[in-house]
Amino acid sequence: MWGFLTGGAVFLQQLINGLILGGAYALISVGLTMSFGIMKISNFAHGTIYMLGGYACYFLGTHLGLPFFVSVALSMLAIGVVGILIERLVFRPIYEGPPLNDLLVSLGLLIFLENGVQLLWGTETLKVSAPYTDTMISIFGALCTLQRLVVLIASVVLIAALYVFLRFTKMGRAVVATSQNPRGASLVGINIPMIYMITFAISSAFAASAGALLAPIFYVYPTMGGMPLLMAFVVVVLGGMGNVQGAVAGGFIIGIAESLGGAYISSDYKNGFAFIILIGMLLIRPQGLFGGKAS
Amino acid sequence: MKSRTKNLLPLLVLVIAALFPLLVDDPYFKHTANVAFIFATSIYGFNIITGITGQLNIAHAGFLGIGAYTSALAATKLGLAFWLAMPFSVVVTGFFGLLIGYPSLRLTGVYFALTTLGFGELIYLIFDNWIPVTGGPMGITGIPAPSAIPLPGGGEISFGSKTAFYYLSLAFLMAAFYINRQLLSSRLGREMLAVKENDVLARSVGIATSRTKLIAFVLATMLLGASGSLYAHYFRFISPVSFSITESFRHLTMLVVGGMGTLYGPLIGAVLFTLLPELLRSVEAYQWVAYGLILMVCVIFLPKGIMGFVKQMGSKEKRDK
Repeated sequence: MWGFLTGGAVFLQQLINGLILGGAYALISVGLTMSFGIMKISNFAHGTIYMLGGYACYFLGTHLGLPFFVSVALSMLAIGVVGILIERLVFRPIYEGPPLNDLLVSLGLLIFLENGVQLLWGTETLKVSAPYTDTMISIFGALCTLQRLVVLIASVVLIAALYVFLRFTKMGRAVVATSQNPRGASLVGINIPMIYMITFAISSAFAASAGALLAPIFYVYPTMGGMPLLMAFVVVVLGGMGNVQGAVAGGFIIGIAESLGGAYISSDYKNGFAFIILIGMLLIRPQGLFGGKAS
Repeated sequence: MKSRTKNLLPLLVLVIAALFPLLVDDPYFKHTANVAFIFATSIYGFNIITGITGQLNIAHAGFLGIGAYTSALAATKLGLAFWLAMPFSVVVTGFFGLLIGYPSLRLTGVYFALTTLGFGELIYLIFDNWIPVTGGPMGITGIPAPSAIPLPGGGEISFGSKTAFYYLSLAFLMAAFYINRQLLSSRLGREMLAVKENDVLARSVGIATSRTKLIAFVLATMLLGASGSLYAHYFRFISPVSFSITESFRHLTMLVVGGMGTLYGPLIGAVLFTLLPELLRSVEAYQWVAYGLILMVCVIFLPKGIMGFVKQMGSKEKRDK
């Protein structure tokens, strides 16, 4: 009886951890899938933009002493503007080019940003302080810090906000229209370059929000974007490339799979589960769980 | 007239290359030339799958590593001479190319790049962690130099000196160049170019795209087996860091700057990027920032690299006349 109870608590604990991780994965993946679906680019530098979000939060929160939520919001804003610059300078010149160019140019961007940050602020991990890291709360016997719960709630709120934007605002519906049929959208008067700019700004801001929200839990360092980038690609493949709802669902699936797999199978190969899912999906169902026919 | 100059150019380059060690006595320059030639050979392999066929193989450095480790292990553990270890590593690396290429080449674009990223990381982790065989992060030391070739007259050609090795690496480079040249002027090579331009269209005109891509991949990895083996027997020491994903990115920058899918691009890229860091030693800290910037700027402004630019200038000049 006692054993069953603790077993249940362990499961609940891992499920909550998985949900929290999943929320962050969903935030990162939504941005990646949007830039893929609308701009038709595969952005290898997406994890680096997540990293920039973490650094922005560090400087705003720890250096300038702004409250945590204010620094997260300002990080999103700042990195969204950086995203606009990146779209304008790096991606806009290559939309018409051969298919390999988006990969090459975003690889260059990744190498440039990661090493630039390393040059400016060093390789050491930076600690970001937040008011909720020391408060423990108990949910049906499962323990978690308030900070982790904040990550989950914030990611749900942000995703809901994105949903409202895409579904109910004129601009958001123009973005959806462009992803469905760029030529048709341009015929009815939608300004496509403008939509690309907004898409990449949102994509960058969402990646930055994940970096900023997780900063107090995982610390901040130049190469922190590597694993989240791979996970985001796994999630995007799982959800179907360009599919926003798919990315949200995929994010939670991968987060929970990683957490439960790490607890019940092997914690050494925690990251391996995502790759097994990735390679399996690519070979068996490359269009994703929710996609239509294979392209 | 045009075809004659076309045939004379490689000959001229070759004569200069052959005379180089006689004209320059500085061992440091010979060393730099050897390194440039070994990298150029490997980038000719990269060119086949990524430059000509258009499939971004991020496991590139991993395959170079398979070549280097196979040859090093064959030499140190089995006592094979370089002349046996090298072809052995060509076969082994090509076999791994077939094994990994067959499933991953069913995917296109970013899917293929990501799968090779995964395999590249996996290969690196095996080098780094399989300590009883690969020596882990410490790598493998004491790899012998290629053994001397006895001559019928009683003398021998030994490869202990940098000058002798120079001619060996030049021979490898020539072979790699020749393979690329033959490929570019053959039906198979044009099929590969068609796959790069438009996969679906290529299939619709009757090109067996999966087969073409697999041939390109295996050919590329075999070339990497040869250059990896050369690498191991020149430096006499190998460790996992030389074959990480980052190294793939460095080679990719060389290929893109030189000119993807061109005949002279890999050579120009490799020579340029072996000389540049040597000349800019004082700003070494900025090396990687520069690589990233060069890669971006080159893709945006010189999408066909230096060779593409030279060709464009050449044709413009002709038009002006």
